[in-house]
Amino acid sequence: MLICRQGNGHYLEGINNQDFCYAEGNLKLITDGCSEAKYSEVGTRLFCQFFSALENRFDINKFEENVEITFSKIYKMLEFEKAEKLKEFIMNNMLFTVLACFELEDKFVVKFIGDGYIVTVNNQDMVSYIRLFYGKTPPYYAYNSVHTDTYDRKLEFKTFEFDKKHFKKVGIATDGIMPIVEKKIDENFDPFIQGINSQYSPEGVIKSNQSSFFDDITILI
Amino acid sequence: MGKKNFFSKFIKGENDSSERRQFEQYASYDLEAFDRIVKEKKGNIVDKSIPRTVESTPQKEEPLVGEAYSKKSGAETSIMDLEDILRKTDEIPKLTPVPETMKSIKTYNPFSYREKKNVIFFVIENSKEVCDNNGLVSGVMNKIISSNKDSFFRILTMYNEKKISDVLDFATLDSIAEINKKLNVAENDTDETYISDALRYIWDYLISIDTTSKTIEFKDKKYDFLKASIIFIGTGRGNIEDEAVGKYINLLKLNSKVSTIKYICLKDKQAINVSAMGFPVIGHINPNFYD
Repeated sequence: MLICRQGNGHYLEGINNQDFCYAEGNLKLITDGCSEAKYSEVGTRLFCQFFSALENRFDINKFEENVEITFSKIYKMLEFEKAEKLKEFIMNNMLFTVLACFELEDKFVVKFIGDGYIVTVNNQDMVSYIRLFYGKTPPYYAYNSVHTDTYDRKLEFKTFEFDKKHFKKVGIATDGIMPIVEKKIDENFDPFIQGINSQYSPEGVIKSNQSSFFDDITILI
Repeated sequence: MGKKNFFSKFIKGENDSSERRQFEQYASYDLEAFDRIVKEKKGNIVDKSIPRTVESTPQKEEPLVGEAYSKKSGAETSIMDLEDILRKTDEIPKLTPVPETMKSIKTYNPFSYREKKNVIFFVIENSKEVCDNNGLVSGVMNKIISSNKDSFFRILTMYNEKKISDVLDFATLDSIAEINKKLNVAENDTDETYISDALRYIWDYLISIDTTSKTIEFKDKKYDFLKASIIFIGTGRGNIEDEAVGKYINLLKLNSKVSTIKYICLKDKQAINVSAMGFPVIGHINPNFYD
């Protein structure tokens, strides 16, 4: 299932969809732009597309290195002469959550910096929603380049593993799915269950309830 | 009515109900339907300069979006244009309604219990820090608590000290002492054993099941045996409670034939562990705790 839709709030404010995603082979990748940043949709799209061009993108062991290479490529491409300009570009464009899910032979591995959701379906077909929640504004990978004084060490990806002995499916989603989890819309509506059963179109249901989704919504499962 | 006046009312906070309904209605939209309409009216050329149209949706009781955006300047242009489109469009597209059969799919949702009475909640907490209300940081948790006060039962288990130090909302100090005495915790008991024992005590002594009348009695209230849902909520961060609670819940399922025992977990790796045990989870992980 792949859904990436603009939130109603962004539509009404005239802001583009700041989410972006990429799914190929064993890899699912979501970027969710910081709503406070002016043009974070630019960064989310650049990142996913540059990342998807890397040859070893499916290699989980190279993931962190590949993210670093991708950010560097984007910065170098712009060739800013002054560090201040680069910083300004980063703050306006490059603040976004990176969520990745690799499906390996025996497990699912989720790696992330920033907020969002891990959605799991266990072997009893029970769906769980696990929010990645910092209790405050989440950190973004790009802070490694601009906020070196705030963080005493490099911000690194967190990794969680889900054994296939227990989990049938593991997906990732942006925090735009919160209305689903908190059931602010039809309480019988669960796109993940419906996605599993596949005879219904979860996207159609999201569309019908579009006004309930304030933030952009992206789901890869 | 002039476009500007229409929205300025909302911006000023005036709240005419008919206009408000219109405003809310405009908060729903369908981009694809818009493109389809424009195509039909203009051939295959989609004029992107024309704003997108809206669909007609039933009125909703909670117009959060409309309220949230009524003060935003960005909303003014889009919605005014939408108003024009509505006037010009003869046929307003409607989305296919959600099939009735979809509603029959069973999903697990703790909020669906909000208005129902046949639910007993247990919160298993293992430290004083998380036991007070401030410690229960999750919005999910607070919602459950606030909407189910009558059937809420919190247990504070200081398992490191091998005793139940408090049973909030329910027990007197005497009964806490009694619980600890009955538990007869041995020094060499594992934490897992201890928590399972504590839960077993609570089940055996504080809840009575009448298999004849098919009721569960708890806190002087009777619950329908077959309809009652018993929800365990763990708020700790460790693995030990998960295993203990998980095993105990499975045991209860086997022995008591109460089929609707659930376990919601709210924090960190518990969320993954409990989900792996076969329970649905609504939880959160604070990434700061994991390096």
